[in-house]
Order: sequence, then structure tokens, then C-alpha cells
Amino acid sequence: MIELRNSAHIVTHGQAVYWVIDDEPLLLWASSKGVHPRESQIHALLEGIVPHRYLRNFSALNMAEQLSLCRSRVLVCGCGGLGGVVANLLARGGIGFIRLVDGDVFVPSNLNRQWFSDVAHLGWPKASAARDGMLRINPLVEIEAVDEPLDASNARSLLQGMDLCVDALDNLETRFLLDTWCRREGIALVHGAVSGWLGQATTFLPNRALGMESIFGKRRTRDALEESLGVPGPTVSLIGSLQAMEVMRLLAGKSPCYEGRLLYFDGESGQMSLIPLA
Amino acid sequence: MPLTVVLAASLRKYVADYDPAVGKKVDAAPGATVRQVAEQLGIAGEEVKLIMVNGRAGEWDTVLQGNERVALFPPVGGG
Repeated sequence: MIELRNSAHIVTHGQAVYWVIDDEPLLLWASSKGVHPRESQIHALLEGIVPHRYLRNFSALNMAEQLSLCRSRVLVCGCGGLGGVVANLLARGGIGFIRLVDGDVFVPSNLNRQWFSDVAHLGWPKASAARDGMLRINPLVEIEAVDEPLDASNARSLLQGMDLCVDALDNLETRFLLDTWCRREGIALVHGAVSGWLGQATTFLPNRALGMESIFGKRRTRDALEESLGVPGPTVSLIGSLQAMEVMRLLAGKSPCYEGRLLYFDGESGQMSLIPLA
Repeated sequence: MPLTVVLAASLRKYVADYDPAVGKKVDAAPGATVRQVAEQLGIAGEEVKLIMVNGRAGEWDTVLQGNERVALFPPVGGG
């Protein structure tokens, strides 16, 4: 019987003192119990011990909020530009279970912006490559990779058991499909989209009146000129980071920043606008 | 009456000399609506759902008084 407290030590961070524990004893504990490592981080937090890797989340998050993240289950739709950023940050943040969905493989034109693409992973399925990268970042979280596109046949089962969903897709048709299923299943959806130096993000909570049409109106395909603007790396990194922040806030029980309003960032003027949605 | 119209993404194609740093200075008839100003610039209205006037939510029928900053945001869809 391994007691986590015996492997923990005390550190001072800011003005507070914390009991912390490193990955290795947590992984050993999980292995000795025959459970997934994500159970070990939950168990530690319940005992008032912070996994050392989450220490700098404090006191932006408190113990109960970090515990809530570690118990959460999130679906990330799209593992390219936005999705790669979101998935990376959620793994670092300790979200207990992350399901990744993407039917594409990495190609050279992804390398300018997609965090899990690298020379060694060209030709790899994006979701699986992201899972491997995330487990190298944080072996305490559980990652499931689905190397298929989201569509009407799998949307419902992919959303099953999820606390929250992230829209990191790259086309309007699938964004609307995801919006429809999140509404039906009563799951919050954190939307992000980019083009060129422009980006946007918003949050749709369960039981909402507003949906994707409040942003795109009747449009169901991307404007050719908008699509031709490309996607530089900093734009997806910015919007993906804002999405990850919103996800962490929601899972921690904090109020959302972007419910009912669209954050619109214009990198050519530096202007950020919050546009009310109706 | 003078106005500044701020355009993003795909809408810039309608205004050849558009400067993203400052927007487009427009001289519109007093009491013009956002729709009339957009038409004056040759912007197709159905593309835009998101409008702000001086930082507040606007609509196509919002009446302008002059010196406002009218921003039209066509949504982006990439990832």
C-alpha cells in the first residue's frame, strides 16, 4: 500500500505553502491500484496534495477548481491549428480525460501553425500524433484519439459523457453539425475560428437560444477570399489559447468570458472587439 | 457627415484603398443608416451579421449621426 502523503513534500509558492507530489509516485500509485493515472491526481488533490506539475496553476485556481479540471471530460473537435493549441494547454492544465477527433494526417503545409505537427510526424493521423505528444507532456491525463472526421454518424457517441466540447474545426458545415449535436445533448461548446490575421471566439452554454447562426447567419460555406487569407501560426495560437482559457474557466466553475458575445481579434490593427450576439 | 468604416477579412475586397490600420473615411448623408453606408461602399449586406457602432451592437437600420466608427465583421471559419 503506497500512501501518497509519504511521497509528497512541502514547497512555498507565493505566500502559501503547498504539499506537492511528483509524477513518478503518482504513476506508481496508479499502477499499484490498477487504475488510470488520472485517478491518482484526483486522489492526491482530495488529500490536499497538489501534483507538482500543476503548482503554477495556483492561486489562479484553488484546490477545488484544480480537482474539478482533473475530473472533467472534454471533446476537442479538430487537432490542427486551433485544436493542437487547445489540446496542448488542456493536457498541461490537467483535464482528466480528453477525446481528440480529426480525420486528417499531417502534411508539410501544417508546419507553420499546428503544434503537434513536426518533421517526424508528417503523414501521421493528427489525433493520434496529438495524443502521443500530450502524453509526453502529461502522463497523468487520459487521452483518447479518434482518427476519423466528425460527422452525423458519430457525433452523438463522441459527445457521450463529455462535460464540454471545443470547436476547433476548419469548415462551417461541420461546425453547424457540432453545434446542433451539442444543443441536443446539452453540452457547452467553446467556438474558435481564424483566417489570416483575424480570429474569433465565443461560448455557447447548454440550454441556449443562440447558436452558430448568430455568427454566420445563413452562410454554410466559407467565403473564398476569406479562405485564401491562410492561417499564420500566431493567430491560431492566440485564439486557441483563449479557447483553452475559457474551457478551464468553465470547468473550474468560473463564469465564462464569451457567453453571448463574440471576441473578434484583428491582428492588422491590434484591435480586439467584443460583439454582442443576437 | 464624416464616418469611419472599419472592415475585416473578406469585406476589404469592396474597398480598393482600404487601410486596416485606420479604416475607411466615408462622407455619408446626414441620418444615413448603416445599410446605406454599406451600400455606398458597395458592400453586399447578406455577408455581414456582426455590426458595431462606436463599440456597441449595431444593426443594419441603426441611424448614424456623424463621426461614428462603424465596424462590420464578417465571420471567419478556418482552424
